[in-house]
Amino acid sequence: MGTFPSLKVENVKKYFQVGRAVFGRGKQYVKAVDDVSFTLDVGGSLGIVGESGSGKTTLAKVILRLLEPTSGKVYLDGVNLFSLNNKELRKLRPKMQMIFQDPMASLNPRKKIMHIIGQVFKIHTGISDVEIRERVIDLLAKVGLTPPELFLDRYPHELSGGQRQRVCIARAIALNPKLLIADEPVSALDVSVRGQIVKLLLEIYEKHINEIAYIVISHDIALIKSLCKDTMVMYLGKVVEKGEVRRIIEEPLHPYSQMLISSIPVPDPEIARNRKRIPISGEIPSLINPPKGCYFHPRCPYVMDRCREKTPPLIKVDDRLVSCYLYSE
Amino acid sequence: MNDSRILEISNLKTYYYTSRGVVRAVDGVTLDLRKGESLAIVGESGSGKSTLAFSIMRLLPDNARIIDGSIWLYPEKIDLVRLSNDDMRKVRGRRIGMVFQDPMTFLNPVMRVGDQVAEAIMYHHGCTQKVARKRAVELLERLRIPDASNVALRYPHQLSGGMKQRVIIAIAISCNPEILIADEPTTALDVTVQAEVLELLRGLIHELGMSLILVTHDLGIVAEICDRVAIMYAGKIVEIAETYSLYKSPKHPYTVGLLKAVPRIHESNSGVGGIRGSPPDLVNPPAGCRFYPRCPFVFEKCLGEEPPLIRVNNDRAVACWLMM
Repeated sequence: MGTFPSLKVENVKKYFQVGRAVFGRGKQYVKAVDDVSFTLDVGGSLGIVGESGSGKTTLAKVILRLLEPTSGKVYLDGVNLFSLNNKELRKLRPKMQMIFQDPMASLNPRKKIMHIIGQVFKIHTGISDVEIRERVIDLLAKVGLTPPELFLDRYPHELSGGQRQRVCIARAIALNPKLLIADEPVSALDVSVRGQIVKLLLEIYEKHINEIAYIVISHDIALIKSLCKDTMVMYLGKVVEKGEVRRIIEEPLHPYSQMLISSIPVPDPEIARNRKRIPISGEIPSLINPPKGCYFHPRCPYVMDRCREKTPPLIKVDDRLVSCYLYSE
Repeated sequence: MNDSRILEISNLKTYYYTSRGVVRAVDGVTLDLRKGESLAIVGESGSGKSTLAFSIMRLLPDNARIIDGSIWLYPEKIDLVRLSNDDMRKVRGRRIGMVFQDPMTFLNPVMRVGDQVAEAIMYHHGCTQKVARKRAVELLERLRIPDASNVALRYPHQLSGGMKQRVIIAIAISCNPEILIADEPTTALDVTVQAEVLELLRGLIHELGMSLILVTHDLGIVAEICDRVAIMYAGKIVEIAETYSLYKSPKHPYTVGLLKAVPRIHESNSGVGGIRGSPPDLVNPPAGCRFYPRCPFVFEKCLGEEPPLIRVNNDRAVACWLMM
């Protein structure tokens, strides 16, 4: 223990086949995740930011093997998850948990909260029913559902959106996971409630900093900034920039990061109306027929000849990784 | 001041009749819109902001009723609430246009997009299809759709989200309405596309001299394009002010909390905390001020009596007992 990083992702790819092949020809693939690698230490927190179709959610699902990868390796505490059979994988499930975007869709509407969280202990531990009840009560209190006894016999529909997300968080941390992935944890919630959940996630993060590695997925880099230290910007299945969130916001290097950050509405009219804008052109191209070379080149204001031919590699520039020819000789 | 008014809503109440009881979605809203201004109506889900917008257009579902109040359209001062259906149809599209949140649900999936734009022009101007189609292509070009004459021949599913939203905007402005109502126009779009559509919308409003009512939950968008902001909570307006002064010094505790809850990329620790509790059930809203169960400054008076929306200075009105 402690010798390897908690999570190591190596050249992970996930291609979806679309359309049918005719005599082996004309097979088309959507390269939802295309060669992504990173490592994350215990106590580390990584945000994955991107727009729809960037592959951020697919990547999370592949890491947890909720989707089978096309190729690549993922090590959790030194164990390659992609080499495990179903039985071995199930044993490891408690160690890796996910919080989903829509709490209503990820809670069984016909079960009470006691059952929803209690089931986790029933499946993965051998503790008695009395003990399970105690553990569930502890967890509910921990995620701010107080008094916890009041919530045990409720159904998900009887809770507000924020309370439901708290139940999902309680379930995810029930068995002290080593890896916790939150996929758009607040985007289904109202603005005034979002802050409460962000605060809760931060509290849990600080409490478990020595045991756990975090990944937060969002389209909103402001949210990532409140929750994570580092971030990866994804565009069409590829990582275009990786570094400290604060630094990327201050000085984005990749033209796509620049565009993304200058597009975010600033809730202050003075700044919003006087800031410099990166001109935006075009929309995200289709993944079925992505442009040749750098996927961003049709929208890029600094496009050069070689961008149209070859995909730029992810290289180290100062304090981060960038995939853009502007920064290579 | 009064001459520049183009729309005046007074004490509007729109209720939904459901199996759970009467939902008081818009409960006594008074508001005016001036010529050429962009007014934002900001609120969370269930605040009644969309119901307010749909009430102005009289496009409410069957179980909703406008039970009280008036919506005056100037300069004739006609009351839209009491207008016949036929007359209302002449107002919709020609005098008030609307942009909807989800472009896929509001476009006809089996009709070419150019024809959908042309349809509105033919209906209101009584011109031939040929003329209307030509004008439709011009409009699409104006919305910076590349290769507009070709795009006009396509069906909605062949277009991206941003393109579809531009088609919706083209339909809304096709008859040069005086007022444009946009209900969450960019919520279904990605941020980079959102920025582009907003930029476009801002330019159009300016060019065509339209007044805009922007319904949104996003205080970031409002800061970019609106002149005035009305904050709605649980069916009521709690604060209305000029954009700059609202962001600089919000007065109502809900506005203060909402502005704090918005994460800002250039500030640390913003957006953490939020407002305790969650919005009330509008079948059975709290007596007194509807915000009191969540308010950090609550005192006795708030529980018993509802605060009226009081003008505190030239450009601001607040509904809070702290201000009195």
